[in-house]
Amino acid sequence: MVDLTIDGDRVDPAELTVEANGVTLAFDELQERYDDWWFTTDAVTLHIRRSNGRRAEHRVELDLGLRIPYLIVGGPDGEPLLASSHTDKTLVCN
Amino acid sequence: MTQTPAGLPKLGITLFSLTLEMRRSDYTLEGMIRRVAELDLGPGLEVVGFQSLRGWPNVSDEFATGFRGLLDECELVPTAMSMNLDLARRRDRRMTEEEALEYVERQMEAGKKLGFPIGKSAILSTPGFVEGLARIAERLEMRFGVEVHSPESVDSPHVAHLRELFDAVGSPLLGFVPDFSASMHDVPPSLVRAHRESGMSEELIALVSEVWHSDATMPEKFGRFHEEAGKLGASPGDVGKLNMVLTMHGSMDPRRWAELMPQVVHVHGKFYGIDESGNEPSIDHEAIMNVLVESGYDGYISSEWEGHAYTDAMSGYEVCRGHHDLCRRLLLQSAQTAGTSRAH
Repeated sequence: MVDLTIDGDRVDPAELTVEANGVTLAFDELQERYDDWWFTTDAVTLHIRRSNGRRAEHRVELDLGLRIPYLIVGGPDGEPLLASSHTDKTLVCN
Repeated sequence: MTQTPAGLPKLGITLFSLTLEMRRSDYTLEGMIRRVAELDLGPGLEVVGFQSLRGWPNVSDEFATGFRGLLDECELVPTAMSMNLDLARRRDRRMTEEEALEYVERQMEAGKKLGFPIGKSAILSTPGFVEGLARIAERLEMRFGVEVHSPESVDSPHVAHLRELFDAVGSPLLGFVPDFSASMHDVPPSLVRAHRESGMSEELIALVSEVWHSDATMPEKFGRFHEEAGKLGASPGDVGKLNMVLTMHGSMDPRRWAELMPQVVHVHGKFYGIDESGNEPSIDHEAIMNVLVESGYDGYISSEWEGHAYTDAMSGYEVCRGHHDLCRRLLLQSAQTAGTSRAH
């Protein structure tokens, strides 16, 4: 689960691509890749298309929800636990 | 590597304690293992496969040879391979029993290849799964343990059910891994400090502590906490964090572990901090070490610092060093007391 807001504008997840393990996928394609793992020490890069304008700084707010596949809520047929984190940073473009 | 005297539990570490250190830009697995050896945090070494080993459970011959050689060189002993049963790996459905067994089997094989004599993970509590697991353990000549971690305890319905299933299969290779989180006498001071520093109100922190200490069932505690936290205007984020206090810290009497000891294959020395006097302020280590010594357990205790879940104010290496000193002191004291009482 990804909820990304840049300079106050929420980005539709359908616009996102995700770069990990040397491949770039549309966000919706991720759920089919259950044989791939995001390794604990690797970075994942989210790509979106935006005109950069002349601004050097951008406020980036990200809610990231990880479904923990080994922690099932509500018995063996239940749903995975959703572990959420929130980041709000102003990043400087180089 | 400093050893505990023969016949006593042995010490070790799980690399999970060093989760924060894994995020440093200069981290390498080899460097971490060498540092563990330098700080005398062995001889036992436990690894979480998915956390520490890229590509797990695919382990190449070359990697396995290098890993085993490194542990030999460092005088470290592989203890338990911590595995995952990712029942919800797929979004559209949960794993079947057959898929779950295959998933665990692949990880047991990979653990064996790396020299680990024990595998541990969650399991499906069905007769078919437990029978299959016993066959896997027998074929690989490994033991398998299910962790008994808060909110579970020695007599929680889930653990009681597993004990029945294990008894029915009758395999000496299947057992349990006690985790000290189930037997705490207080909320960890390091956690209270971290929540206070994050801006949580004193009233809310006092509430969760009071509810934790109250004599009530877990559902009753959750109910009361939610009702009163709502009145205090707690945010959903804070309520979520404090739910973890009730879930992750159990209040079983530590002497109750004695009942489980005949089926214990490995031990998780869960802890959250070491105070100025060298003690763990929320877990009665003296009582637990007495149980372990009196039972004759001479397997490994993996020091497992989990304070990194809410604070980065401490070094995992340093707190584990303190935990080893504490465990060693108490094991020797317990052995001496046991020896004295036997002599009388």
